[in-house]
Amino acid sequence: MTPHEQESIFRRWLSEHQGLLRRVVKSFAASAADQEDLLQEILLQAWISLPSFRGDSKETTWLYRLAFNTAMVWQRKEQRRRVKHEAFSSLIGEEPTSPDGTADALIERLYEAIRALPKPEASLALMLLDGLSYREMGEVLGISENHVAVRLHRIRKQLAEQLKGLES
Amino acid sequence: MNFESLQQRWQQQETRSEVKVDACLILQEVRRNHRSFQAMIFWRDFREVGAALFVAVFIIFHGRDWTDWLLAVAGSSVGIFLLRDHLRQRKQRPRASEDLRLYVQHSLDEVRHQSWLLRNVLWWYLLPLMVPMLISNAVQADTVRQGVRQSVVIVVMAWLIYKLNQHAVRKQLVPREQELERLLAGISEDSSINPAVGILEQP
Repeated sequence: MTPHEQESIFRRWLSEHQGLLRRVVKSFAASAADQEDLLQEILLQAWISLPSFRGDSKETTWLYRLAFNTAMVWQRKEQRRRVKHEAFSSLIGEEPTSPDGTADALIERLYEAIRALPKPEASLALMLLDGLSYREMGEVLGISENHVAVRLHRIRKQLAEQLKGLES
Repeated sequence: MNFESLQQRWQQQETRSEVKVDACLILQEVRRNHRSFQAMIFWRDFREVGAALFVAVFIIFHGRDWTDWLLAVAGSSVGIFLLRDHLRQRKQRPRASEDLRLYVQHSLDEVRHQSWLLRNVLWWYLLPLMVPMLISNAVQADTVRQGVRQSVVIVVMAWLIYKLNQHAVRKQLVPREQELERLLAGISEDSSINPAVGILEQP
């Protein structure tokens, strides 16, 4: 992969899969500063790992893997990683909000519920909501479709439990 | 609200707000971070291996007798051992694009190796350096008293280094190893699979 190709793919991914990266970041980090920090880390890993992308798996599957792995490592080193990224924070833009300007309470609660889950479950919950197939989820986590199905059954119950009373 | 409508609402969250991203600036920032990351790795490797080799080269040129040469050989051996180990580990380092289970497994292997290295620091680092130092000290000391005093200092230093390494294993590596083991078990807990539920629930 030439540097030019690397740059062009990176730019395309940045525009096409920005939503995916944002959702992963919000599912693993609560505060805006942490989200920026984690996003920067994921983008750095994506840039470093991009030359090894051979197209064997879908772009999104590859990105989920990379984002989840990076997020897990980041969470462990969270405290040490709280270095200043003010310069970067201005580049990322504003937090997504609903049309009336307020954050969507249900979605925010959902993010909270996902963050409270153990890491592999959080990854599965996010992919479930993003609409990935069981096969794709299995590929990201390295487990069988059957295994994915069983775990999602539990996750759905857990999420439903946490969101009770907020449906209105 | 049923799951389908919740999922729909979830998937609409980006379309409700257009977020402007400056790809050029982000790319510039990512490149800058990559450069500093590479520089950090280079200097870390340089420090670890360079120090041992520097001492060895210094002694080769300024050594007084065969005991100094022995120390130079020991220093070089430790440096070469570290370098080889570092290069081998770099090849096996977990890649961020691997699936989660494999990534955690490789991270666990990496931590276990680090743990093994520190637990055995006496054999590959302390003894190879301490023995030539003690021999050199015994041969070159002006008086028996001075020789004994310096030998005690060498042994105490080695003991402190050994204890520090074991402390790092207990306080940092073992908890990390346990954390990764739990995570790996969490990802691949096959025992919990009930085939009766299985794939039929796929949306």
